[in-house]
Amino acid sequence: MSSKYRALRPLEYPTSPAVLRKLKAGEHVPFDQRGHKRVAVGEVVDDVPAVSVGWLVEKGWIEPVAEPAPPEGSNDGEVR
Amino acid sequence: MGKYGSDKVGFFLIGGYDALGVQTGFTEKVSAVTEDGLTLGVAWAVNLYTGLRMAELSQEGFYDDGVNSFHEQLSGGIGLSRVACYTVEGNTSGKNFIGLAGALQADYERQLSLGALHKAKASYKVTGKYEQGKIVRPLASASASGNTTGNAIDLGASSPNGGAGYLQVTDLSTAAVAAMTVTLRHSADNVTFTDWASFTNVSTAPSAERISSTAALQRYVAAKWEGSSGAGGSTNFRFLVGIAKAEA
Repeated sequence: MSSKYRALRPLEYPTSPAVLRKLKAGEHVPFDQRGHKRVAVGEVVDDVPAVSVGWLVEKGWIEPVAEPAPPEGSNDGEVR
Repeated sequence: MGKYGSDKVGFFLIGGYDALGVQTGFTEKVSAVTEDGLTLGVAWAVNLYTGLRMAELSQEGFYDDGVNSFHEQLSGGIGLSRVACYTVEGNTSGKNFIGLAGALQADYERQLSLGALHKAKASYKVTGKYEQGKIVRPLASASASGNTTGNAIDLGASSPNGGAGYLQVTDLSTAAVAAMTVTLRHSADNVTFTDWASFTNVSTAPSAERISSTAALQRYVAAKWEGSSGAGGSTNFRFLVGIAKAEA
């Protein structure tokens, strides 16, 4: 499953695992300690908080970005 | 739910005018418009709900001719419909407030009597919605930019039909900023936020605005504000932001 997503609208979210743990636990974290990252429309990111991915995809605010397929016959250059 | 006293009237704002300092009381009334449905052979009155509701408001206080005070607000407001917001639960984030889409001032009365300070009062017929919402950003002064994302309010559940945002600006010094942009933002999990709706840029005060959107409103709501560059100097931006969910 792709872990990269394209933002379909401007987003802001914290990226610090420590902050995310606190927020997930329902703790209050002042904004100046959250270290929000701003994501513009069209930007592809791989650090969307896991807790937010499900509802962001459902709402249509982000979309998964498919990983590019590996090139054919690229194991060791052997001529077949 | 507890009882509240007069000290919990956190703000009473009409069109950005803040008359709390001279106001001694106010009354609000919400009514159902009914029609007499009495017919022959019936012994008791029959009142039928027409589906229409209406709200009325009245305020009274000391006559005061200070800048942006009672007399300036009321003497120039007859016939004007202005956005109004007030709370009886305290000026605190998350507390309830009442938002009136349009408080049309019906009259202005001054009362003078021997041995007493002059008084003033006005009454309003509400045009449009009477809404109960939550205070997102309490009435207070602020610097040029900021947000309440770290203290987002919890509406308890999302509002699929959207809602209405209220902005009341009592003071704005335009020496430092040319205009302020205030935006409501929301989140389903209080972690990732995006913008929900923006108010018209504010360049004068007192002023007030109600915006509405049918875009789904998520559970957690915050406000952010940013100022465009001005001539320089200290910023004085005193404002309130509230949100009301759309009726289901």
